[in-house]
Amino acid sequence: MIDEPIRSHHMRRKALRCGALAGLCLLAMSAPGRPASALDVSEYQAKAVYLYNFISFFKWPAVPDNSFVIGIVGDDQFGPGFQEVENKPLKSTGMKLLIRRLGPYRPGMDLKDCHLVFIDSSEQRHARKIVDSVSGLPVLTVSEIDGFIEGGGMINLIMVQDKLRWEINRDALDRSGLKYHSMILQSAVRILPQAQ
Amino acid sequence: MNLLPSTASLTKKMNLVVMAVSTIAVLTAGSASMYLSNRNYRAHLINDLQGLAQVVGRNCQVALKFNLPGEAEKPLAAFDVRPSVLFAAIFDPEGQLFAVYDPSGRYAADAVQLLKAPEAHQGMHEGHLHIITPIMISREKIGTMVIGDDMSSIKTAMKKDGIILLCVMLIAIGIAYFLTNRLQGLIVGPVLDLARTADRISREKDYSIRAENQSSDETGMLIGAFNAMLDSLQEKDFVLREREERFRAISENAMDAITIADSTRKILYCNRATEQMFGYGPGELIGQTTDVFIPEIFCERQVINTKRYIETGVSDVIGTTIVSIAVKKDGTEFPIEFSLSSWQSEDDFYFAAFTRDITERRRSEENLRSAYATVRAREQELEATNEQLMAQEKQLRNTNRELSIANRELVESREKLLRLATAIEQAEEGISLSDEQGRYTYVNPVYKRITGFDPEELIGNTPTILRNPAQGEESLHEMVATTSRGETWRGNIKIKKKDGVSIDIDMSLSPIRNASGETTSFVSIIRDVSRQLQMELQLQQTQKMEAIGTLAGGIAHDFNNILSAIIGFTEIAYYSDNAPENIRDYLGNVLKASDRAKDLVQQILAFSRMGNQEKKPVAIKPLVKEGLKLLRASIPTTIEIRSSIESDVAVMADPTQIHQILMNLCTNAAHAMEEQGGILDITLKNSSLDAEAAAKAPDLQQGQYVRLTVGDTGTGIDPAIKSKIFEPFFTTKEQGKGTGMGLSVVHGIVKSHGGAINVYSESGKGSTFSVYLPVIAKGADEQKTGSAPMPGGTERILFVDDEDMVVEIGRSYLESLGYTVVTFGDSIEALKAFAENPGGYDLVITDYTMPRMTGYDLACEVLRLRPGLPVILCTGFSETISAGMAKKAGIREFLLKPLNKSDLAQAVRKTLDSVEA
Repeated sequence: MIDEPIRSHHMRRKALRCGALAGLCLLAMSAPGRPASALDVSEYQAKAVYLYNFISFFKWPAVPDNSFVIGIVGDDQFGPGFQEVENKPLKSTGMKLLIRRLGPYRPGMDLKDCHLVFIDSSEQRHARKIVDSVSGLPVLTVSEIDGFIEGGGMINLIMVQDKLRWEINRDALDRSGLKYHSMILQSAVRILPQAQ
Repeated sequence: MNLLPSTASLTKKMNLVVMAVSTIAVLTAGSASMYLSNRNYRAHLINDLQGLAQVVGRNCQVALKFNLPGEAEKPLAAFDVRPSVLFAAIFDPEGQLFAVYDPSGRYAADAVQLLKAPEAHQGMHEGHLHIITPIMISREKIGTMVIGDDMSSIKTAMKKDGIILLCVMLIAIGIAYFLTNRLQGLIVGPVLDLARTADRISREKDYSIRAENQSSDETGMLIGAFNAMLDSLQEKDFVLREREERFRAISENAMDAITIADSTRKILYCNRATEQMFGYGPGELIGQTTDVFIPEIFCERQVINTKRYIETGVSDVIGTTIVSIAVKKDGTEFPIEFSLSSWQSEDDFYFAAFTRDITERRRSEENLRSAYATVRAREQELEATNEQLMAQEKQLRNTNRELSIANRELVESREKLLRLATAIEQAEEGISLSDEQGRYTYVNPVYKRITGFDPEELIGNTPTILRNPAQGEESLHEMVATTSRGETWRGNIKIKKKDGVSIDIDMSLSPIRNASGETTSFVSIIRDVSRQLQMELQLQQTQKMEAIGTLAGGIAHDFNNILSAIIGFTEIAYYSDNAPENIRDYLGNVLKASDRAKDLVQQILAFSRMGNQEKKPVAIKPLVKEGLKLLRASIPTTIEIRSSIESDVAVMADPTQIHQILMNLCTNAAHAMEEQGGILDITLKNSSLDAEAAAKAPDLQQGQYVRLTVGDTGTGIDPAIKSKIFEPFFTTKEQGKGTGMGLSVVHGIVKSHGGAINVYSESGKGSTFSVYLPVIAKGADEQKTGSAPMPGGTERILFVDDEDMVVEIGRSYLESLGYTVVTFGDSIEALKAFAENPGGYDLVITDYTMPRMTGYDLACEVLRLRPGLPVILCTGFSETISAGMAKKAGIREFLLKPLNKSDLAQAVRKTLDSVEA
């Protein structure tokens, strides 16, 4: 643990803050301190936590069956990232969180039932089609692909100075009709379109 | 609290009190105001800071959630706009410092310190106000914000407030001082006035000075009380002075010498009489001892006595009158009489002596003594005379006692007599006393009720006034014989009342003899037994009918058997082939006669209730209507048939027999009117008999009945044969016209149906037969309505009928219904009573047929005296009165005799109600 970088120290504190992810925290602690990379397990765990946290700052229209659905298109790199919260009530709204691992993109894939769609980097080629298929619907699209927001995606997670941050396409968000916390915009590292 | 010496003036004290009170009040109010505004400012500040914390906290949510402390710096910088905020810090849920705003760089440590008391959301710390607010997303706590404020805004505001308040307080105290100075004169002024007045009075000793009173408050009351006290002082002063003057006047003018001395016997006061009596000049005695008044030899004793009295309070001198010797200034001695009194003041004993010179009295006593001897001798003579007088008085007293005993005995016997007299007056029997010639000397009130005569009419008359020609002579002879033997006679006799009505009385007549055995007077006790005898007679009649019925029935039964044999054999003979023709004719006649005999037997059996009956519930109305149709055909047209068939009830009966009753009664009625024609009146009505009415009819029980009446206006029934008409084979018709079984069969049928029959008849006017048959009880409900109370009232009714029985029945019926009833047995008397008080009645019920004046004429007279008064006319049978005549006589209703309580009640109520309406 001696060589554990400061980043992972922050990570651990934050994981503790999200009490529901306590198990995840333990995993992070047990993870050997290694420089962060795209394949780093703790990076995906951080992404899982980010996805989970985003739910608190967006507001979806009334959900009929009282469950919140996160759809994952492409490979599921999260591993046990959602293990502790899957199929359990959300701390903020009490809705049941469902994770749908949808696998690789297929034409005609129905994402309308999802509230949040994460497009794995493995689906870079189909990202645009996927985003277009839910355009104008209250579905938050999140990815980790460069140029995702330019292609009509809403939020793209990127690493900035070893920290996970996000970019936002404000137009796409406004089109979807989702309401969001102003600080989500404020804290974004990049916003499209650029402010005039 | 001795802030001021007690000698300080009232004004100063007053000023001090008012100023102290107002200063304390103003200070208290000021402090409270400062405290409250401080609290207020703080509450405002806390509110502000909380609002700020919420806004900033919200802007830090993303930074917290995504663990981006850098992102929190921008929102925290918002506190720059509030210089009073010393620091602000955000902590994550674990209590770790996440971001801090601390321009001076001194307070970050304080913030960490403060978070350790997470419960306190606001409070003071080292002179700073801090608040602690959680940061929430929805229901999730994601961090805590701590803000510290130096409260500089409050301090500035409080300083400003404090200055204003201080100015206000100073002004208020200044005004209080000014007002106290100006207004205290109102309270203190009168008190000072009073003090000055009191001072003046004590200096001048003039109780007539008064303090001036200008107000009605407590000071006014104080001055008033002060003046009142002065009034009473002045009055007491006056009284004292007056008393002293009075005493001096009495003392100076007294004939006796009055001397006052103290315990050393020094003379303090003596009146003019003293100086004159003892020969001293004015004022010469004051200051000397009393020794100057007494001979020298008594002086020592006087000293001892005085000393003893002062020490022990015992003295033989004080309080008594003593005769002694006194000495004048010139040394001459003279007799005196004196009394000594003493009193004690706080410091000494005082003695007062009242002395009288008795030289003159001594002299006159000598003269008296010689006169006394003479008087004494005279006295002894008087005493002797007195003794004689006393003896006489004693004798008189004895006589008086005897007289009072005799008087008491007299009073007792008078009371006894009075009780006896009351008993006689209240008795239910008629009691009379008569003299040896039989002349009434006393009759009690019941006598009038029985005989109709007033006591005044009877007294002085002999009982022949009551003589009834129907009474046989034998009983009267026996009565005279028994009483002349000195024995009591008892028996029943008939008498005639004043109105001529004959009644039966039960009488006992006893002679009263004096000591020598001579009859001096008679006492008789009578009781009206007419009704009792009538009831007995009726019962006898019923029993007789029963006996005859049984007898006839028995004979008829046997005779029927014999008749069977006769008919049987006669028929055998009649139908035998070898009977000669003429014999067969004879046998035919025998058979015809036998058939008639058989019918007769059947009728006898019907009478005796031995025949076979088939009783079933029958509606009686159609039965009677049908019978009337048949009758119309068989009755001559000279006879008018009137009918009123009202009842709808059913009876348990044999319809044929009911038919027979109607036919028999109507045929009889038609016979009675055969010659001159008339009216045949048939009615059928419901009739309920209550317990009272049932008791009067020996044949009937209490209950619901249907009454069939058949009335005619024919010859009527002779009273002599009235009791026989229901007997079998009794007939008034000529030989061969009737069997004499008609009425007896009716009687038998009615009896076998549990009913009753009676007849009302007047010779020459007609008869009415009434048949009562019991109604079948349809159910409990019907029975209840049957016994329901009949309509009553409280009106006043005049009831007139010449028959006592009817009057009695009428009265009892109407009184039991609540009416006030006045009855008369004579129409002329009734009219006389009515004329005296025409307004005293609400209704007149009168019989039609009465001697002297008919009910119709009575009704006309009554109506003339009181137009509109309703009249009910009772008729025995169908007397012919046209509707026009009835209206003219004010007759509203007819009642058919005999009277029936429910009919009477209905008719009376209906009539009275129609008048009211």
